[in-house]
Amino acid sequence: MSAVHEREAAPDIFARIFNLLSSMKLGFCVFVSSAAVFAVATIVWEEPEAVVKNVPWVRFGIEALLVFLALHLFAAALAGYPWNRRSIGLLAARAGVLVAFAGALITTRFGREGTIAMTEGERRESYLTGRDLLSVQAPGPDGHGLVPRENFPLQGLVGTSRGTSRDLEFPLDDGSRVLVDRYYARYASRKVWAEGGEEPRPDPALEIVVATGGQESTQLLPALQAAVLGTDRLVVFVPFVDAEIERIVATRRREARAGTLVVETPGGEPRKLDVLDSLRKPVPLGDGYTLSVEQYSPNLVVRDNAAANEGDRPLNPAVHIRVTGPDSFDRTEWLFPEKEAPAALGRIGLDDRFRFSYDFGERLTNVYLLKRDAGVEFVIAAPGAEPKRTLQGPGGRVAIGEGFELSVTRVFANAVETEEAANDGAEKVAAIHVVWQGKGGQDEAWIPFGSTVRLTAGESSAWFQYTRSLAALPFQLELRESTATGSRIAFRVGSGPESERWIAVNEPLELADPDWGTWRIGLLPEPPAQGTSPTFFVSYDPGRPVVLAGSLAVCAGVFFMFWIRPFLRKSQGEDVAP
Amino acid sequence: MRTLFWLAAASCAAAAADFPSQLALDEFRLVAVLEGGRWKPLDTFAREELEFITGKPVWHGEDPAATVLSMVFEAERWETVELFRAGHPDLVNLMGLKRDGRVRDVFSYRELAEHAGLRAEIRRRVEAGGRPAGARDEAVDGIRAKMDAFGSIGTRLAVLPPPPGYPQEDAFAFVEGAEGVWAAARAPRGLYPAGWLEETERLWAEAGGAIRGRDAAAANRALASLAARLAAVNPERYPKRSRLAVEHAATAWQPFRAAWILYFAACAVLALSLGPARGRWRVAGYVLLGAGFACHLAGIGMRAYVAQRAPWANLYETIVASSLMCATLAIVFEAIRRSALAGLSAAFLSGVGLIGASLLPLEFRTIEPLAPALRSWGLKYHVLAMAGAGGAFTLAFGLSCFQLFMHFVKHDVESSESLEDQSCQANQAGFFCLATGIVLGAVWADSAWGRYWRWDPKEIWATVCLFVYAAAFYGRLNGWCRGPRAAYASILGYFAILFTYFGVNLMLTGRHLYANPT
Repeated sequence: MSAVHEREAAPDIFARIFNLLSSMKLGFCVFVSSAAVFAVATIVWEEPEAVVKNVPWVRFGIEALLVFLALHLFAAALAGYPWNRRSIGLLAARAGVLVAFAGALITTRFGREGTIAMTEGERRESYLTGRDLLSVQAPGPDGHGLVPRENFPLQGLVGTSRGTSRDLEFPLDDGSRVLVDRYYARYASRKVWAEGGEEPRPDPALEIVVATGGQESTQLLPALQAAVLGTDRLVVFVPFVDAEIERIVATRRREARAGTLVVETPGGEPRKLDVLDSLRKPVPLGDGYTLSVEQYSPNLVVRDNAAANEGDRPLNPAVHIRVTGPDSFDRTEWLFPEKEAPAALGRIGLDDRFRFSYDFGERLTNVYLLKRDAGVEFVIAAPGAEPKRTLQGPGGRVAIGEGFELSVTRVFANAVETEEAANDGAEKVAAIHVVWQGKGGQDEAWIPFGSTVRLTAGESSAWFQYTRSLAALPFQLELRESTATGSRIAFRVGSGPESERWIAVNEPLELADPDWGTWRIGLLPEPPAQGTSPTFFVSYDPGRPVVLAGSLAVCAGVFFMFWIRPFLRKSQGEDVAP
Repeated sequence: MRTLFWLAAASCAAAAADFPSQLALDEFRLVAVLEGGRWKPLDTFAREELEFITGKPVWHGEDPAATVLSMVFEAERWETVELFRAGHPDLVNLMGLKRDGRVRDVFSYRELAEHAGLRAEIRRRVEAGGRPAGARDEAVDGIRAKMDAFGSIGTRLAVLPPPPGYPQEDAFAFVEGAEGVWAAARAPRGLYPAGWLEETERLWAEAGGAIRGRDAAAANRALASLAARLAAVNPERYPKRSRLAVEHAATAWQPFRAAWILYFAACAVLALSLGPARGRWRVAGYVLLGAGFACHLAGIGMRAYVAQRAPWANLYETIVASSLMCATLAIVFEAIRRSALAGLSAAFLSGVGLIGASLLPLEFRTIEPLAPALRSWGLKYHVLAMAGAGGAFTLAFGLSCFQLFMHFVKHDVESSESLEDQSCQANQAGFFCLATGIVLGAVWADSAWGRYWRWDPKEIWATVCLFVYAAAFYGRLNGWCRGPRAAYASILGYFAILFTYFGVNLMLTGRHLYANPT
């Protein structure tokens, strides 16, 4: 066999790789894969940018995809050699993508960006970068203020929906260690109650769940404070430890008159009559019947089989009504606010025409808790009635009247309010969880972005700030004026003359870098909150013109491919199916 | 005698009921009101307020301007009119009011204000604050907002322009004070011409008195005088009458509604043109499509003139613009390729787009002043390119659906291949617009945010769409996406476009926000 045949028969690995890279089928697969990866990324990750920047395997994966795409486009462009006039469009489009990728690489490698927040009259020569930083601080030499002691870059913090992050551990110069083990992108702090420690202190409380109308709410009921249920019910927790109940104690009461008498007729709208206003004034009901409120008793008691009033306090309010009508109809009845009230002393007997009820408008229900070894006992008492005692542990549900049910979910001997962190805040406020392992012990805390928190381990303390690193600007900036529509900035490059310029949203200031490239300083679109200073973006991007050139080449190439090339082919008599 | 009495009473009642139609508001409905950061005619203000409060822009066929004036001058009467819909079954049950034995779901202001249960619910929401936790909270917030809007309609009817030389963009409303005296609230009294403001307040009170007294002639005189005075006090700051008139014409004529009616008519006629007698129907179909396109374009033009900016700054406007692009491309296809199915697809899909846009909540449909970030050339060109892409891909989607129909139902290979080519051409147009739009958006982002690429979900999804269609073109070249598979790729790409537009806007966070700004 000849040498030529031997060369043709032997597999050319480079040719195979080249053919594979330049194939349309590979291109198809790369585009589909890239689309799928990007689509999933936006759905899975709340902050795709943070993930792409900080999670190594994600960054590597996306870079690999884009490199693969670039290789395919390069190989496909080479495969078309020698090029002719009709391949200009495809070449331009592919070359444009490659040029844009190159520009993006330049941006990644050499670009700088950050933000500056300035108040009027303030001068700056540095900007806040996007690199998170944990700053360990100590009191200044004169004892005033804090100065940075050590700074640690916080790389790898990721704002995922689950708020997870890899642990970051840093040794401090004094031998202690600090651990950052959690990161929340939407930090929110909620107050929760917890048992306050071994030493009993007089702060008992109940965590109760109140259910009414199919809805439940949880609240803490500290001792001797009333909880309002619905619109007119009060619950009071009065703890008597190892003591019997002797009397009901009311700690809060709302102003109430004598309440409202409600008259309902079938198919009609209920009528409401103020009891005191209607006292001894005949009220026509219709069909010849008349209602009269004879007497209001704030505290009705039964003595010697007769109704009597005892005192002015509305412990057992009741209303005595009289209804007269045709055919010498004349009946009286006592009405009570409670449904399960003592039996009425008379009957009206007009249920098919009128129904009467009494709404006192104020309720006071006391809940007593006696702590026993066997569990939790509580007692519910309505004013004037015998207290009802129930022995049951946390979780049992007790009806306390008028559709309310109450259950005790937790009992605190010493209720202490603490803060619980969550990753579902309405505002996008990042925070890190820091654990400091000092010589004398350990302390931990959540530190929201921009905040400084003091941790104490044993007898030593340290201050930790979650911030971003600063970088120097090659020029000075001063905010001269800030309005709702823009800002007036003065700038000086090195020792050169000072100039002024008006900056508005979409109208950035461009300053030449002393070495090469251009800096841009622009006003961020988000308006500052009341009383805060405007924020400017700072950007140095030498790759920008390269990316722009590549992008324009892509657009021109696509236009040529889709419309100029068919025109050229048609003019040469060829089939021009798209 | 008794008969005469009852006849007189009946005619008085009829006259009273017909009073709004006796008001001559041709001039007064064009009085400018400063509300929501822009000047708008009273007619627009009235329609928007009525739609917000009652759910419809017109109350029982009455002139909206007359209704709102009545609400301002006869507030007590309107407090007992059933205007507010509860919006949630729990609220309906909470109100517990009945009529004819059935539970009602429409209530008056007074019923709502005096209902202890609703007051408790509102108090609970105010104390809780924050976003609504569910549909019930949303209903409570909604009804509270409507009640606030009703209660403040008089104080928000800012028709009094600022005096000449006044530094701020502001306007003032007339408020009824003690003893029924009307006065301009907050107005810088000393800056108006001597006696001018007092005379204007007198005219306003006269108009109010005439409306309360059902004296149409007196009301018309007072309102006509007022309209002239308000427009003349500060001509430099007062909006041009032509702009107010165009806005009124747009809301009265509703060009987008006319457009979708004509589009659907064109759709029906073009469908007929696919049958035996195609020539005549085809011409008629394209005439209707052209008429619909003209109404559509006129509506967009009117909106641009009223808003004094590019008319594609929010979700509603971009859907309308995309629908126009779809119809435009179909007309081009007809001119070049004589494609009735392109016209049929575009007519149907553009009509659906316009109807969908009209069903958006009021806050999307109202013309709002531009946010600072949008005041840029980018709004004109970047969004226009994206709207063009949306329209082209929409047309391609329609053609792909027809292609599948021809392939699987009609088994017409020739038509199917022709439709595949047309769909590919539409996709090419869309791809070019999408690529251009992405580039323009990157340039705009660079000047607005300092970076051309931020891994923003909208940016990512626009690139996803570009990749999907690029894959489809690659697949066509290597033979994988031919025939029905080409249609599937086109349809899949359109779903990506829909998610980019609606899913990203409404479900994901980012700076391209409509729902969840960061």
